[in-house]
Amino acid sequence: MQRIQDARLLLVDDEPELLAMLETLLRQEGFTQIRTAANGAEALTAAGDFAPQAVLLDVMLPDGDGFTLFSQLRRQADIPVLFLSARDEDEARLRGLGLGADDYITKPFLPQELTLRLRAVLRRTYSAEEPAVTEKISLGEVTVDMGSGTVKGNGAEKMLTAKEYALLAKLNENRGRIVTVDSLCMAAWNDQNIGYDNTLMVHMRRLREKIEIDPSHPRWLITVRGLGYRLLREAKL
Amino acid sequence: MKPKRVIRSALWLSALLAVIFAVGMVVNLGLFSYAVISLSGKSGEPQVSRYAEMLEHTDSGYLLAAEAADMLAENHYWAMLISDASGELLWSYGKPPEVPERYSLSDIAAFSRWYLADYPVKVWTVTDGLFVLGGPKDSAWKYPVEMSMDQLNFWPVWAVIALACNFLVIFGVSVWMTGRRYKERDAARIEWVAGVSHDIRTPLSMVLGYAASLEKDGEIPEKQRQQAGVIRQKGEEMRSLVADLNLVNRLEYAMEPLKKEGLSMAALVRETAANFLNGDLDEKYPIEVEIDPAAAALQTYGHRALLVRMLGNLIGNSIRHNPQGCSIRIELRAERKLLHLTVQDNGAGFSDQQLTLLRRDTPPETALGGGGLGLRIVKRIVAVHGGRICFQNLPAGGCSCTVRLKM
Repeated sequence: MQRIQDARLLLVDDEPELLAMLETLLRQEGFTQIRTAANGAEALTAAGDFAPQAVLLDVMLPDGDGFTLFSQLRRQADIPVLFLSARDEDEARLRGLGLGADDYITKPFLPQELTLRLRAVLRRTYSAEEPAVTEKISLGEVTVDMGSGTVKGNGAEKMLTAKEYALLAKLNENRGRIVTVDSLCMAAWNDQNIGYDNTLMVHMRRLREKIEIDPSHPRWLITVRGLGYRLLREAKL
Repeated sequence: MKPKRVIRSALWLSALLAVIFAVGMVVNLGLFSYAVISLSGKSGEPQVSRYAEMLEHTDSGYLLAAEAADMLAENHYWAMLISDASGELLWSYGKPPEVPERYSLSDIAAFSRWYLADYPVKVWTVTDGLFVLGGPKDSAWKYPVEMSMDQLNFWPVWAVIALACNFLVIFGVSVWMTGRRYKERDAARIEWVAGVSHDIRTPLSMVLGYAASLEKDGEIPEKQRQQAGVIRQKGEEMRSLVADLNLVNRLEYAMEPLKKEGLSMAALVRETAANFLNGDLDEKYPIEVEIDPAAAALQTYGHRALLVRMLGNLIGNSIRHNPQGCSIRIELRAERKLLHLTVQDNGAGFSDQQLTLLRRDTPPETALGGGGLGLRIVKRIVAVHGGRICFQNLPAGGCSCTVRLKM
């Protein structure tokens, strides 16, 4: 599979109109190899001769439910499945399946929501590696090399400690967004935020001393009172 | 299922049942007494005094009038006269052989008004002695009724206690019946709403899907694309309405117990507020969060997704009702073993009518009032967590909603 759009998709739903719409939407998104099935029996046949690389599966089918079909499909091949469900109550059962690479989406959904999930499922299953973490974080004149954990451009080159590295990585993952103190504690200590407030503040101050030109008036690592911190994006020029 | 609702209905039902029982009892008693009175008159039960009067002492001995003798024979009765002086038999008519001919004082005391050799007897005093009228064996049942005056005086109390016990039994039966009826009705309603919302969702998928794809279609004019955008937007509103309806449905008639977990309310508040701020929230809605240190360190039990939903709806309510913008302030405090979560804004506030509706404990079947589905969901989530919620307008303008949860 060269591109994600080249994946062979099998769509299973008992509503022919919904199948037609899904096919149209996915073709617009650039997917080319699409097969549809109106029931479980057809789906199993298609799984045999079409060898789909991902299945979009309605939970309610005329000849049995999607859960049964899911386990039957899984017996044949380890294909990722994206469930379509029209009932909130299915959520619990779907979670109960311990979906790994798979996912589910509740009807009604927007096309972009569907393709986002589908792409994610395909990427998890077929892409060898995740897109690498940004190697370098650019903060004006200062650059942080996340490969080596070094800070350049703010006087002498400085090394980040393990905690500082974890905190900065978490903030950078969500750059431009507020990251709550709780998420930061989880990232650095893998623990709930009980009594870490002061420790976190200390680490943040040290991190600022390394990455900010003027640590008392930070330009990048901003405190959001009561909530957490935010690593500002570089203004687009 | 709401216990209050069940008890109220059960009270009505038991009152009705009690009235029916009481009327039934009065009617039964009336019929019974009527039957007893009319039967005792007709059955020709011999009046001992009448027979005694018809026994004449003539020179040739005692003589019973022929009319009386016929009646005795007809009814298989027998009669005799015992001498006052000697206890000897003076006269008898149809006396069974096993009935003795001599009586001591104690013999008389023993059978008087009771049974003589298993024959039910009645006595009447006449000039010469005791007139005894006997019926056939097993023709009458006699039982002594005796009661001390104390007991008799206590009777009204007993009656009240007995009535109360009866009412309790009736009430218990009513609660059980009403509860079952409500349960069945609620189950049917859950099914129905779930079914309807399921049926709406699939067609709505297509509305959303095609509208969104038309909106992005470069081949059609801008105006039509905008119109498709409106369809998409309204479709999304319908989607969240259906989802809300489903949630309310499950919360109001919740039969499955809530899966609660230990969680930090402070973290939940920060996360929800950050999500709002990280989203596309307009800058005219600044959100301020204030968490006191005691509350920050607390763990509480709850359903995470529902609590996030509760807070989200409260914030969303402030945003929706203040299109011109407002500052939103979220406070979390720990006080007197309770967590107080307050969401307040400096916007328009609630109308008086809204406040009345919000403060009332609206039964599920009434129309939506106050804050619509959003605040209704909030109220239900607070209720299923065993908490309390208070809505008020602030003197300085704006409104505040305070949720109190047990820790």
